[in-house]
Amino acid sequence: MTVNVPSPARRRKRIWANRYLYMLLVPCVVYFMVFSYAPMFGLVTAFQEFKYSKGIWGSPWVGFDQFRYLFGLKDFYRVLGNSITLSVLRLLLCFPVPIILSLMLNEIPFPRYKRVTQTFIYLPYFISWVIIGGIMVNLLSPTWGIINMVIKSLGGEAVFFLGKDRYFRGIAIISHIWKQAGWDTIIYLAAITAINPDLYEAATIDGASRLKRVWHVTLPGIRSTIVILLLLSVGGLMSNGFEQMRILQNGSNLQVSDVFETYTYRIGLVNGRLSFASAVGFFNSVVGFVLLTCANFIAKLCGEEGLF
Amino acid sequence: MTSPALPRKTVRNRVLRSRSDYLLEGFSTLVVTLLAIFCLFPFVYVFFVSFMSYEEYIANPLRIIPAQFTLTAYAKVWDYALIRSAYSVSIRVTVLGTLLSVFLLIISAYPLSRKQLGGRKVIMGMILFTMYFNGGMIPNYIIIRAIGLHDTLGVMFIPWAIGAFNLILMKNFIQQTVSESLEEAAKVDGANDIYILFRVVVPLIKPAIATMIVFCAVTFWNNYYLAMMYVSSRKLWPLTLVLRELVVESTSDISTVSQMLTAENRAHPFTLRMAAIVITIAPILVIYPFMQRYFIKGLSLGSVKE
Amino acid sequence: MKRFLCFAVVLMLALPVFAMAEDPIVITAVLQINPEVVIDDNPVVQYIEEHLGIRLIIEAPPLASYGDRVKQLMATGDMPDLVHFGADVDAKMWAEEGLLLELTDLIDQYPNMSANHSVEQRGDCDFFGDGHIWGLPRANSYDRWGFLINKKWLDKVGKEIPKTIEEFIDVCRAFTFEDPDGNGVADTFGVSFGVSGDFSPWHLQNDFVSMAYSISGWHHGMPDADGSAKLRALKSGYGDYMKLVRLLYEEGVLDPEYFTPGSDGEEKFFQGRTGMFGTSGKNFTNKLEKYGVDPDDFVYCSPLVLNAGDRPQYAMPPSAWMAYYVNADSANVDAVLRLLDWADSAEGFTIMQMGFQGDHYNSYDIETRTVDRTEEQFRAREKVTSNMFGFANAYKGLEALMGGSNPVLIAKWQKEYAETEAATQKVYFPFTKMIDKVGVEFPDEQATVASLETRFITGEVSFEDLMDYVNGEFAEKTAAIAQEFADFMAANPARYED
Repeated sequence: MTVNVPSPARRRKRIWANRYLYMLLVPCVVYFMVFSYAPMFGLVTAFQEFKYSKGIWGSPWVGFDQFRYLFGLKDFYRVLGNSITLSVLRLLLCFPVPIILSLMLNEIPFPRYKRVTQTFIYLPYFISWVIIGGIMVNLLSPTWGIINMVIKSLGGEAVFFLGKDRYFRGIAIISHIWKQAGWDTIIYLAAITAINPDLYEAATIDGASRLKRVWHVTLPGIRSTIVILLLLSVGGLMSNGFEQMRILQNGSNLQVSDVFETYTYRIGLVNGRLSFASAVGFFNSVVGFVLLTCANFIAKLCGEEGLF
Repeated sequence: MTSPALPRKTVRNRVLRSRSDYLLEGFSTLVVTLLAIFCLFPFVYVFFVSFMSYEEYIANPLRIIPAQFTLTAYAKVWDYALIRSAYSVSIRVTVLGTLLSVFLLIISAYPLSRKQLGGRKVIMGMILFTMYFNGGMIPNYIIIRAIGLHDTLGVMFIPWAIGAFNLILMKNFIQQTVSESLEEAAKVDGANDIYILFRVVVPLIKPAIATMIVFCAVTFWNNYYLAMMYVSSRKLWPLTLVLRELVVESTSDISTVSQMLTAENRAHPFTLRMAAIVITIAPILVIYPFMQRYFIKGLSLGSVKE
Repeated sequence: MKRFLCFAVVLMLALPVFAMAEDPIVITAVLQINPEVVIDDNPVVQYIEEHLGIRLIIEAPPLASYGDRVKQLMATGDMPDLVHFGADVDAKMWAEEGLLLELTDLIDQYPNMSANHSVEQRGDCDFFGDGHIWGLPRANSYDRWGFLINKKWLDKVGKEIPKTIEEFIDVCRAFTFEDPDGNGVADTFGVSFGVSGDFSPWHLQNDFVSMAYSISGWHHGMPDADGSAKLRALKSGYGDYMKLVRLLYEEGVLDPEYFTPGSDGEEKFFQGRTGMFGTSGKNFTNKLEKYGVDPDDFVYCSPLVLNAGDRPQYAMPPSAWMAYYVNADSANVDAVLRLLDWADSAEGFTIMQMGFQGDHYNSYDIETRTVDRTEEQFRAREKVTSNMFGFANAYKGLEALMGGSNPVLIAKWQKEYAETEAATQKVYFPFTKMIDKVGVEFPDEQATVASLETRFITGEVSFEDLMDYVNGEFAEKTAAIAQEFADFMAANPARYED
């Protein structure tokens, strides 16, 4: 590829050559302009003290007051720490599961069985956290729960899983994997179908075992998909899933279970300030976007294509 | 990479499995089976309890299979005046939304996947930006109202017609599947980009399209947020919203509201809630296998020979 | 909303053209109405149009997003004539910004309205503590938090209904360790508690225990044992109450899962997993009906006391649920208030709560609050109106129906209600809006107290750590609010009634 800047004439020619591609993009650009960029004037409320009677343009400006209040909250840093700890754990423990799972699904030798099991593992995705919360309370109950019944029948002591803060993170991670991993395999399975079968044949001829073929053909084949999802996960480090956190939280585990989303939600609820909510959202967005940009940069340094 | 000149079938047939291959297959089957059981169990529970009478559930909450199957919960859900209109709204929103969404994803992802397109990185950056920055509840409402979408069927799918996440996946998939050389070959034949997209590219990305159909259909079927924010008429409420309002209690700030309702006004026993889940998931369970074969078929589909 | 407004404007413009004397006044309202009610061609709305000359145009957003939808309307200048919303911090902002009509003097010009809303009730909309009323609180009936006990279990373990804390602990132990359900497995508990959304272990359902220590979980106006006004955590009985809950937890006689959300204490009680549960005396038979249990198996009892011979107390704060606000710029203030006034009359209350005679019931007695109606009539009424739609949920302090749907339940309710009424002393006190400031100004401190309380109960924090924090940092920071509260209570003292 050449590095020199093309002349205006050549650029115009290139644009003209791609005119159909640009035409195809018009609806997409219009869509994002209308539904995403047009409402962005609302971001200014983060720098205002929003008044119902004055609306978004008329409300008084307060500069960084909302942010100062947010950063000045006593528990803010502890809660942020909780958020990041949990997100990093999630990235390390939850992210690889659907990849491994889809590779395993791909190795199941019976096609019909493969389809049926895949259908089963995506089922939890459709059950809302509220319902899962109820099911978990039933399963994990120290008195009536099936898990503790097993523990007790094996001679162990019943464990109050939901009432002790040391179990909180484990439960959050496991329940997240349980709900999400099966569904996330769909993306990887689709990516696996895009791998050229000739590569497997070549590997077979070279005498590679199946494990080796997984390692040398399948994984590289879905690498770009993995990288993209990883980058997006890094960008999502600030979000831990509000609904899941709410159903797992209680007075006994609040010290570790209070994350940025639930904390700011509670504060916003009592003081009812739209500007505060807006500032919280803005902070979240900036952190997420910066993380994504950095991750994207690192990915490019490593020779990946990156997102943008 | 080039493939050996052997015909595919003969290679397949000559594959010999070593012991480690059997081990890998066995291990994979075992792990996936265990997980499938864990995932299935709660759903089986939900399914059976939905056919249980509430008296039986209350009397024996640990029982899973009802002594007597009853359709009381379903009859009660069906009795709500809003359920029928909600079904029709949900089906229309899902079908229209999926069609529009998948069409837009295809025509947008294709140009964005072409390396020769100037400015595509900028556009990608701008799309990614929208995944993080959002104007907020009130500006969104102002825009929706200004373009006349408020309280229409369209408001339940048009504002979410292009998911940034889906677009990125689609773009990546096309990049992976459709090589530049293939496109060049078509261009030499005098085809323009639009022709190439629909005649050459679309047949090649069937697995991705099937995936997107599933993703979009599930999103639109489960979506109650847009209706919650922008729909006033109850006749336009989708099924998930109606069921949520009728039987599923919220964890957030409306809990005070549900406390206000007395038993006489609204009984939402557990079994009703379970029936609501079954009603919501059932259509997806029916449609999913048809889509599934496109992206689980595996090695024989979607490949491009160079 | 816009469409409705346009419609309204067109109607008004059309008025002189047709020159019809009886044309209805159009008012717009955003109301919380449960999804069972069909709003289109609703007979109650039609009745209002025919008899009051008011065409009510209702927007009823989903309950799950109700608050957000109202805020959207308020923030975009689309406030309808009438808004139903919580008497909380947002409404206070609207009042401050001049969006709401002040109702202080207007209420008294409407006879039914002023009769059905006590001065104490109106205090819920006295946002600035200066006597100005910014909304009409939705009339509700007084709660009385006692408890239900499993009579079968009580007979099995051979105990009497507990009256004192000591007897209560004794019964809790028996219910836990003497296998009251006779299944041979140790899977029962004496009692389960409720838990509040802010994670603190306080709930009105626990008042039947905490009132022995002069504490009502959410009603801070309840005076301390010596009659003084203090914040909940600083009351004289606070430490003893916390120690009691800790004791119950430690001994394993309190359902340990009560503080985990998703664990439904009420359901567990009716499933026969726990033996006692806090319930409001005004509608305990509704619960028996809801869970389809045998009414004879359960007895409603008065709150507990510390010492034998003490008189049990009910905390009686004014009862209101959210409030109705009138648009300050509304052109039809009188029509809106006439509508609310009608809903507070015997006729309006009956129609909005019960529907229409013939279609929805055979006869209704507003004196005894009993109804004669068939299953079909009940079902038909469900589609027409509800106690959520009704602008008033109480008439002369009582709800539309008291006691349940069949004579057996009604008789049971009347008997046990009368007995507990005679046994208890009622403590009336006003709304204490300034307490909300604790959560607004010291959210972290409030959450810390909630977390310490729960972890003290589960045994992870010592009593000293809890009390040190409460009496130290928490008391110091909230001192100004506590003082304001004490001054207010000195000016508006609690009233004791036997």
